[in-house]
Amino acid sequence: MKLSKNFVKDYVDVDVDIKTLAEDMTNVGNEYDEAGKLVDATKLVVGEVLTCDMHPDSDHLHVCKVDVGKEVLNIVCGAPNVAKGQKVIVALDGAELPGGVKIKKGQIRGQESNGMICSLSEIGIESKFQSEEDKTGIHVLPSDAKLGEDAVKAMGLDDEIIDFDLTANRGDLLSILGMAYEIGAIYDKKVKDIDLSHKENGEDINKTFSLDINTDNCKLFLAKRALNVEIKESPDFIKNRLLASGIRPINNVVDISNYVMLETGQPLHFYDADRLKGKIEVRMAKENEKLTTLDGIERNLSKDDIVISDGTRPIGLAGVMGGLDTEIEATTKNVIIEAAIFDGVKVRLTSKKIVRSEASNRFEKGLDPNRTYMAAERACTLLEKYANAEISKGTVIYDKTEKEDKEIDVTLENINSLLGSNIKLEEAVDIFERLGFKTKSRGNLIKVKVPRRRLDIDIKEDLIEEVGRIYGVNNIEGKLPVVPTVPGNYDRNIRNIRNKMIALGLNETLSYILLNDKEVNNFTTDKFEPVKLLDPMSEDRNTARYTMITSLFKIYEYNADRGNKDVSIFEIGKGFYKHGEEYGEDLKLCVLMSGEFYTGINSKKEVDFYIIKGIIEELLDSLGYENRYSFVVPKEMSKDFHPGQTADIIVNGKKVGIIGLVHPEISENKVFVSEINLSNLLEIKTGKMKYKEISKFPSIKKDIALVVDKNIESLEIAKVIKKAGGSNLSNIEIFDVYEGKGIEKGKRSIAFSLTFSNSDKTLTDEEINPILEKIVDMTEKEFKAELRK
Amino acid sequence: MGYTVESGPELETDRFCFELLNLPQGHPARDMQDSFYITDEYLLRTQTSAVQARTMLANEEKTPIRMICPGKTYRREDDATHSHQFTQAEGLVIDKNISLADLKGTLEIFAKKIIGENSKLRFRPSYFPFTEPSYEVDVSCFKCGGKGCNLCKQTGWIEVLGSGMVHPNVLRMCGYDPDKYTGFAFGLGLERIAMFKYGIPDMRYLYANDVRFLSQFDR
Ligand SMILES: [Zn+2]
Repeated sequence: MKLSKNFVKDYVDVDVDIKTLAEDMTNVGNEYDEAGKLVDATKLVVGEVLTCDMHPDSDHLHVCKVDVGKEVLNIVCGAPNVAKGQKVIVALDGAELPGGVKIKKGQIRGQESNGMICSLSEIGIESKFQSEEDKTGIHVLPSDAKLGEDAVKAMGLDDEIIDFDLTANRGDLLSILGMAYEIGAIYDKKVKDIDLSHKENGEDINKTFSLDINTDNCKLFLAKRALNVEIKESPDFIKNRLLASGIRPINNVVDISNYVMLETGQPLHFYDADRLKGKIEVRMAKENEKLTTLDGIERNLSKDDIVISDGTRPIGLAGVMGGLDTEIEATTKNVIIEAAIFDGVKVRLTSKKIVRSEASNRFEKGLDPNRTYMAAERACTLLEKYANAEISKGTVIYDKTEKEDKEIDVTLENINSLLGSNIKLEEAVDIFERLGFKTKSRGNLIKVKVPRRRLDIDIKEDLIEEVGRIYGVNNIEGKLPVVPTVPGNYDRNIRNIRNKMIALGLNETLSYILLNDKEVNNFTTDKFEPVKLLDPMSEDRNTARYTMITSLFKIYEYNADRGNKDVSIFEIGKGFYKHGEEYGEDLKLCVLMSGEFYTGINSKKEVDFYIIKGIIEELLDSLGYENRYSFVVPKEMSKDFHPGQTADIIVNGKKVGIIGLVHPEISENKVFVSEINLSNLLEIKTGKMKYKEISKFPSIKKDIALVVDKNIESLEIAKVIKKAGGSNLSNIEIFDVYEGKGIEKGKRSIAFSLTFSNSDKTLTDEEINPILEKIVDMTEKEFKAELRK
Repeated sequence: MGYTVESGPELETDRFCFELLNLPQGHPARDMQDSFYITDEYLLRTQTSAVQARTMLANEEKTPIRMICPGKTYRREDDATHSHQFTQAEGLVIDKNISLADLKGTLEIFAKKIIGENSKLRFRPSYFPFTEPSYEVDVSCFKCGGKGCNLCKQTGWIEVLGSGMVHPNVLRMCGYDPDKYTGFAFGLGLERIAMFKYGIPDMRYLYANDVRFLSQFDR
């Protein structure tokens, strides 16, 4: 909402400068974006073009002699419309124009130029507010403008503006009157009455005009009639105030509807009465009903749109936009004035589809029915005065609203206990009176009558807020209930994990959870339904991730593209899924390592499977899972992993994560990743019972490395090992895959760590060795595997 | 008795994210935070305040509440000062006789710890549907200390927090009798503070995760 200081001064005396007003309004809760002059320029005066000749060395410049009162200036002007006898805006030597332009004496192609004749654009008026002529050249002032006078003043643009960024609950401030009450409360000034006086003659409108309201979404509808209007340009003060408020002047009648909306906050709609059939009906639109709105677009309506009809056809979308057929034109003679209250939610939904406007915004925020009556009368006053209208007797009324003040009780104890303040009764009463609320107090109880214009006030807490606002919240002393934070167990674990990873030398990242639905199944074979957005901002962010590996791999790619090859990162975040009708999310830790990694001061190592595995082991050990985890060949593995260098992370027999190498087809550089589902892991208690089970008979670990053909999958070998190992082989881990030096070309070495245990006894080497021999025999038979020495 | 650290789902229901926070269907304030809906019922939470409602309902008026809740939140906007994903921290205190003065005192300490020992606060009345009265809180400029500079647009203040006294409707809907209990809540965007504190010009830089950028913030 742009507040014109000249405009609001009609209703309340403000004598502070614009910056002070803006700051004082901020302190009572009304933030602003900008505050300053409407025309932010200096040294602009009225001049008269005495002579205007073509520049000798140019085909478009003119050399003018311009009388600016005290002197006659030589000015070179490039505008096509400059002519002898015009009154014009002259920027004198030293003038400052918007955008930091400074005017200096000088020469233009050899001709002296001691100022500038200005267009409206040059003094900062946006082109949408300008006439076609003004858009193409300099602005011509009326012939009675006084030479040498301040040109901004002569145009009536000597106004100051505050552009407020209002909170959603203060619909009342979308009006000059509302602003006047707010300013009046701050400076303790009374708000002046609005002039509603006008004559009413002839036949009562109710005799020839009927109203039919067929929806609950219209609670109040008033219609008045103005006859024989004279359509012309608005007087300057109306045009200037509309312009200052950001609304384009059109003609006197249309401008008056906007002017009254600005004053009262009540949007109005004017219809050409001769194009209506003597009737207005308000109802919900039919599905696929058509209406051409005044922007010339044919709209397809739905049953959620409130529509105005004249009984034969739709003539307007209530609160949003009128119809083309019945709009005010230069030839319009008679006008029907509509002042109504439509349901804010419905108006919002319709306006979102069509266009959001000054009017729809006010319907959304809510309106005071008293103002609806006021606005209808005010429009008549101004139409009579500035369009020579004859107002018909009477008003057509449909009204289901409450208009009397809201009575709310509040006690001094209520106020002081919620604010923690020490405000006196007289102070509180005074604040209410300044806000224009009537009060009655008995003891410490204050009965407050709140006018309907304050739609935001319903309960005593709202009144307490008013007291706090005007009293000044910064005048209330803070006190301390300060207490330390106690992290819960869950949080403590997360914090430990984060600290551990940082201590191990990894950088923590923060990635977006939203990705393309095509990526959601990368790096996983888990079965889930992806979580998709109904209305995404883009295809690339239309689904919530399931595994974080995708997120971290993107970060790796981003860095690799920028030449950062050494990437060792982790993130703790969520993965999302749907199972049946249930939505769920799991907390996960994801680690990604590639390139060189600092393993100690001044010691770097190329990341391999061992290094990332070591990091995960350290983490699990530090969380108390020592001896309870293993890295096992996956039963099923995503194609995005290297089949030979990937393992499931098992804790107490349950899969909690994965660790492995990104498939070489996805990344040429070696990128190792691991993800642990912390929601699952942290549920696995480090409790005593399980610990005993495991410690009863110690297990024995044996490592073997087999050299096999490169294309034989480690998973297949593991299956055979498992078969050969029998019931005493409790776990198989792959801990290294190697090819290169020392290994015959076309072959690779896969190292397995085998765990043997028996629930009834401690196994001895004598019992285990024959099993190992059997494993070697069987893998040799199946894969021609050789034991690596 | 200290603050507990709470967490809640990021995939929230409309009920916890809006309804219980005094934001019924059609409330104009829902526009301020255009949301990522998954279904009519589920959405990515737009505010950590959803955890307020969860915590209150879980406590069932049996005990006072002092909690903080940091977490990720999501809104449909992306530009230099907004990211569709951002991190909020939320604080909630509910007890008998909690007042605005307690909120002020708490936030003053909070600001000194998070922003700087010499920071001053300015409270401006504002509007949030789940608090009444509501305040936006400005902190004296990180860069100029309040004299006025580019960072604070010459005002000397930088907006960092939203806060207020818990709305009686919220207390009631979440199982606390507003005639017996009062409380305060506050929330802040952590990226915003990081941007001011470290002079980061675009919030999206925080999500690019350039390792050279990350290692600037080590420990
Ligand atoms: Zn500053």
